[in-house]
Amino acid sequence: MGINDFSSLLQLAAGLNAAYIAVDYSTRGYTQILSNKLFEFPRAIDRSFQKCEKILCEKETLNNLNPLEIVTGKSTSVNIEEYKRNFEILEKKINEEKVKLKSQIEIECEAKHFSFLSLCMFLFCTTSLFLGGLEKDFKNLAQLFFCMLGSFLLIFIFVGWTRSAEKIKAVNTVNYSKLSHAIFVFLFSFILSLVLIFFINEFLYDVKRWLLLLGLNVFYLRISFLIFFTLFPFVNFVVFLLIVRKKGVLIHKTIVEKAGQIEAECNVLKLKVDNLVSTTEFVSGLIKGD
Amino acid sequence: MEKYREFVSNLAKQRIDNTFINSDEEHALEVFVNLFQIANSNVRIFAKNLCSDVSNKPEYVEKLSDFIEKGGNVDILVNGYDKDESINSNLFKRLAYYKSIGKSIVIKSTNVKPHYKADPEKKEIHFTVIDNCAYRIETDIEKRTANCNFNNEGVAKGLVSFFESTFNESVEIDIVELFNLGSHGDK
Repeated sequence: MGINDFSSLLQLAAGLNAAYIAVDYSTRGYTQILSNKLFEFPRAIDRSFQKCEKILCEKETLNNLNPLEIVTGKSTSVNIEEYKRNFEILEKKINEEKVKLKSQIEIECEAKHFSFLSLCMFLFCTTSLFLGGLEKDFKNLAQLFFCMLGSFLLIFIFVGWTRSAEKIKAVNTVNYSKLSHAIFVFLFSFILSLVLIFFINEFLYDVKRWLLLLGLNVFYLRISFLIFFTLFPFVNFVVFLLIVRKKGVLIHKTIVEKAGQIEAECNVLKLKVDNLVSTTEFVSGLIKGD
Repeated sequence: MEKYREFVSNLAKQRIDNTFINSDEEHALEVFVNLFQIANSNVRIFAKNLCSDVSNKPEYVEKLSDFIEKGGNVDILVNGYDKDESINSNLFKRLAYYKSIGKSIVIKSTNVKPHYKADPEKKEIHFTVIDNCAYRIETDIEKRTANCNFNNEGVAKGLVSFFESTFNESVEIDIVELFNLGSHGDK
């Protein structure tokens, strides 16, 4: 078993990553798709405010409620207008809150470094396909280089997964928002791997002996590494799925809190309207026709 | 219509001195909404009776309500006051409510029919002027054709001057009494 046996999978990974480099760089496509289509966060926001919006339909009752001068000489006109105005304010508040939350979701779920990581993966995949061609004559070197390159890239990718692009920019010289830096990272890993494999190859026999002494099966170890780094380019998509989901869960708490606050205000207003309607009905019941 | 909204909103927010003309109720409403949004202290309205479709649209009433709640003054002159229509008007109901709780709203009735000095036909005009800088002058009150500008002090001050002189000589309409708000419901 070798790299060449996984060439179809590597081709698929290369294609997927290449597609998302272009799409994601311009439109933040992948994370937006996860947010809007898979987890449907905007729809969840709309659903959270549905109860409030149903209560706001009571405004129609007020529009058709005739003011009454009740027996003690007081009119309900002021109350009707006051409650109508409160409904307008609540409606405005709900719309503003929905826009704010949707905007917050978009910002939180945005991953400016996704295209950087995709480019690294794409370059890794294309190099691996090339190594698959060399594997027939230089099996050990090709597989060693494959694993070494994957390992160095894994370090950069792992930093990308665990930090936002802004935080990474502040700490390191690598700018995860720039695709050119992805190429530099890849070239750096490539050259370093190239240098190291020649060094390790000299002592490969000794390395195998040490591994055997440690009780590790070299064959299974080699297969494990091959499989791991073949699947490595797909892991990026899965990790971002989990990142977006985690961010969504955090924002969901905010959504529930805001919707709850507004719903409470809507319920108070509904109670007032119900009281007004009851009063009107009661007073109307006291008036007799000619 | 979405592009027109953006166009008007941009002129209003940036207070651009650009006179534009519009007609029909939908476009008129858009201008009124933006005028009330940028108003700081005074809204002066000269109209027939403010019982038309435009002035009773929810957006018109809401934006004017926002302005009143900000502490603004609303002075209205009508030259075709109709008591029966006013009782059924959403705008009048809202203005009466705000008047009853002490907001600065004065509505007066007049017989004056304003027109451009240079107009030989003396075609009647109506207008809304915001502070001393923005206005909408309805030059054809049937078709709702109007000249609008969000930042022209020269014309706006002229309108204010005419409005104030007519306003001072006009009779106030007691809208609180009209809706029987003298003593109001439990608060």
